[in-house]
Amino acid sequence: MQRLWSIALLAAVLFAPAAASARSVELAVQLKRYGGDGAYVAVYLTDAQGVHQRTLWVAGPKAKYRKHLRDWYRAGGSREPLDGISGASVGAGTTLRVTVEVADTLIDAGFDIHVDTAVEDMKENPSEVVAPLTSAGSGKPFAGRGYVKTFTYTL
Amino acid sequence: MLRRLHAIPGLLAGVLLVVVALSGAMLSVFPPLERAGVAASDLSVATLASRVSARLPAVETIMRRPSGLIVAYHLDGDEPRASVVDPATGEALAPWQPSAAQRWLRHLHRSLLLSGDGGRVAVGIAAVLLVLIVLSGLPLLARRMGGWRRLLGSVRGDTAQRLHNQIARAVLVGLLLSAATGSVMSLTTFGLLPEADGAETYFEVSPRGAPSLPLQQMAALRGVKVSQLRQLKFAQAGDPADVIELDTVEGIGMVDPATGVWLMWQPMERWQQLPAMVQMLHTGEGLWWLGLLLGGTSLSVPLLAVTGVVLWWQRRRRQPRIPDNAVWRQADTLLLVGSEGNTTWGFAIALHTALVNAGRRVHTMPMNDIATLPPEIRQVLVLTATYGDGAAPESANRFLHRLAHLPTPPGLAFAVLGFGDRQFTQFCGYAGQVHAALVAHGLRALGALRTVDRQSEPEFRQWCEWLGRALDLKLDVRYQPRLPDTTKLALVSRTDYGADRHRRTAILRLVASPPTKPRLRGWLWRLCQGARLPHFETGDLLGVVAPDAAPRYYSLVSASSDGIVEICVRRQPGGRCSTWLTDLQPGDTIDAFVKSHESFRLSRGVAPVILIGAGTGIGPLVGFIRHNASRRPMHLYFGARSEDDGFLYADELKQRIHEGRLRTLTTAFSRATPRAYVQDRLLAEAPGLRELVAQGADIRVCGGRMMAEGVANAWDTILAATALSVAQLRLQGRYVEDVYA
Repeated sequence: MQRLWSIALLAAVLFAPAAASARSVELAVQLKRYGGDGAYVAVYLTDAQGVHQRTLWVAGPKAKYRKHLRDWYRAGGSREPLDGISGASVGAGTTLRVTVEVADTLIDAGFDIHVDTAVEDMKENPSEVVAPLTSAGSGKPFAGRGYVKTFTYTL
Repeated sequence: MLRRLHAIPGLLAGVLLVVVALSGAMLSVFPPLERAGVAASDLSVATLASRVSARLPAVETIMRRPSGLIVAYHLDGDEPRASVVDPATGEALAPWQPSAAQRWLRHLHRSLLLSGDGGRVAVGIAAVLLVLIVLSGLPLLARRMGGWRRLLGSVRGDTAQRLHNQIARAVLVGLLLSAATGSVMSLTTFGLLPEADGAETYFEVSPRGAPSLPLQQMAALRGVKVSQLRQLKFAQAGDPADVIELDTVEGIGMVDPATGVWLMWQPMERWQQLPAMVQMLHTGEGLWWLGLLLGGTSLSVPLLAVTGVVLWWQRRRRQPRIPDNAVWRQADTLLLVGSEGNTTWGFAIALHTALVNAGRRVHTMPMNDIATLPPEIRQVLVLTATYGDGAAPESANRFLHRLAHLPTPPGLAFAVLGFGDRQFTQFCGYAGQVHAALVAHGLRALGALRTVDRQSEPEFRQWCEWLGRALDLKLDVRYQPRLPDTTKLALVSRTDYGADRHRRTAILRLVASPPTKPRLRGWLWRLCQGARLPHFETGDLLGVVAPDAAPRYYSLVSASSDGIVEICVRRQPGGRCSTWLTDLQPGDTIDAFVKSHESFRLSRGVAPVILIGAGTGIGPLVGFIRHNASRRPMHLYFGARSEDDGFLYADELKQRIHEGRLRTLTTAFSRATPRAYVQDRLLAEAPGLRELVAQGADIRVCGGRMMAEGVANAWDTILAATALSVAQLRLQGRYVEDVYA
């Protein structure tokens, strides 16, 4: 039932009239002082079943290292066009702040934001943050299980 | 061409390569250090996982580093931690963190500590240039050694040359491996080389969701050895949909925690393992001894860079500057120069200038540099000296070989002018060979071979006038004798031999004036070949410029490391330079320069040495004996007039025998009764000499032309019974003469 629901929603997203409004979402990924090189970070959207929808941001310039963002890479994230939604890697203890466009229809519709991280010579953290994309969650910090101290999105 | 391919990348990337190589060498220490703390184990992943999870229940991931070190990532309360664990017990031994020093060095090595791509691009280009440097250096080395087969022989030359070639030979393979793997890694980073795309397909796996089996009992984990493991991610407790993920050298897979069997297994193809292989070869992570070896070879890069720049600079200095040298492609006249000590260049530049002023487009270059002819070529002019008795001078020693492969238009006109010394039997012998070879190659001689005796300016002018008529040009030749930079030397002491004041022989000892402090600045000067007397070795030649006379050459007895310049001079009746020199008093100064005579130097090793000399020819031979610190067997055959007249260094030689630096001394006195010459002594000891040659003996002959001919004939007689001959020994560099008129 839920799957049907999400398919319907996805269809709604895809076939929505051009006028369908999108919203700016500010993402903030604050990293711990994990004592390693700059982290590669992928922020992306999945449906409630964890099926990949679209990439929001990839931090880490070299394509050959992005395979270590394991869940994102496995879902084919690297094959999406990433122009305009990628940038430098994120140093330990610093915060990645970016603003991306997200369609209104995806908010409060059962979608999750995932964060994958990877650092050279250290453990990979696939989906170390899984935060539901809801109006209520806006501005609320989510803790990560790996290098992410807090993840916040602000609608 | 090859030399340029070697030098230009080296000059461009030199400093950068030194930084990258040194940081690489330091990085190579980390894998063996890390490995030192690792005990070999033959565990299965199941055993390791169950031990670790027993001690650290909140373990999330186990990583095996390429060194074999096992690191567990676990939660300590809410804090994630990484710990080194003991595979034997599963116990956490110490917190783990990548070394800050290693990280800093790696940044330096990869990107010169620059953020952005600039540093990485520079390092990548340097790596590719290093590949080019090594690949172009190998044939240069082979050429220098005299062929691919002699690649392992002993390297001759001055300090910089020997250092550069010996080190390069030893580290060549290692450097190539480092540079090539580094280039590949850099090219993949920038997407210029396709990476083995490990794009794993997404697998929909559905674990049973039942409670987890004990790790020790999981069949899939029991089948994988820890030595194959890269990473193991445990299933999250409380998430029935989660699985165990395994990343190994041979592939990746997922295991159902409920059943312990593979839900999915994707083997890694050979080509997919390639990038990991390249990385292992480059970093030594997982192959620590190779890494250490490559690190060691990288340490040579600063030395190679410095000696390389010194060699390049020496070469540039030696190459005369030719004013208005036409671009090779546009030249209508080629002026080829064969020169040993640069004197012929002086004549060549005078002719060059005259031809250019007469409207010709002349390109002047060393004979060895010829590879093809310019498209609009009209005439080839050759000015060449002859080295010793009929041999090619340094800048022409490959010319005949190259000529054989040179495509030439039919009927191309040429003229050869030989420079030499009429007192040699083979006067201008090499020029004659060149003339004959050009005719044989189908070129048309503008005239017969002409010669210039002992840099005679009038003879040179006559030839130029003839050339002007032959080419229908008005040639205004202005010749300026060209001398190397000279140094002032002051006479310190002299020892005279011979009663007759007008025929005496003197041993002169000189120092640079004013004397330099040895050691303190010595090596720097030597390296830069500055204003002081440059580096020289026993057997090199001292060019002495007497007032209003052409330079005369004397064989050096001492080496620059002795801190003194020592020569033997025999007063020649009517000889301007020798009479002037033998009249010098301590404190008087002369102008002199050094001309190296590399081939005359002794090869290294322990093989016996047979030294044959007469008169002042004893000089460099005594020098060899004096420097024979390793006490290799040296046998001296010395000819003089009599025991009292001209027996130079008699006392020193006795002393050297006593010290073991000289094994045997055989003298031949031509004014004694019965009169004897060195060749007689040689023939008398033929069997013993044959034995020494069979042991690989080096033979050095120094003295007058007549004596050298007699000695060579004697040797041919001695060697007649063997498979060897003087000619063959000469080719091998084992029979070398230093002959004067």
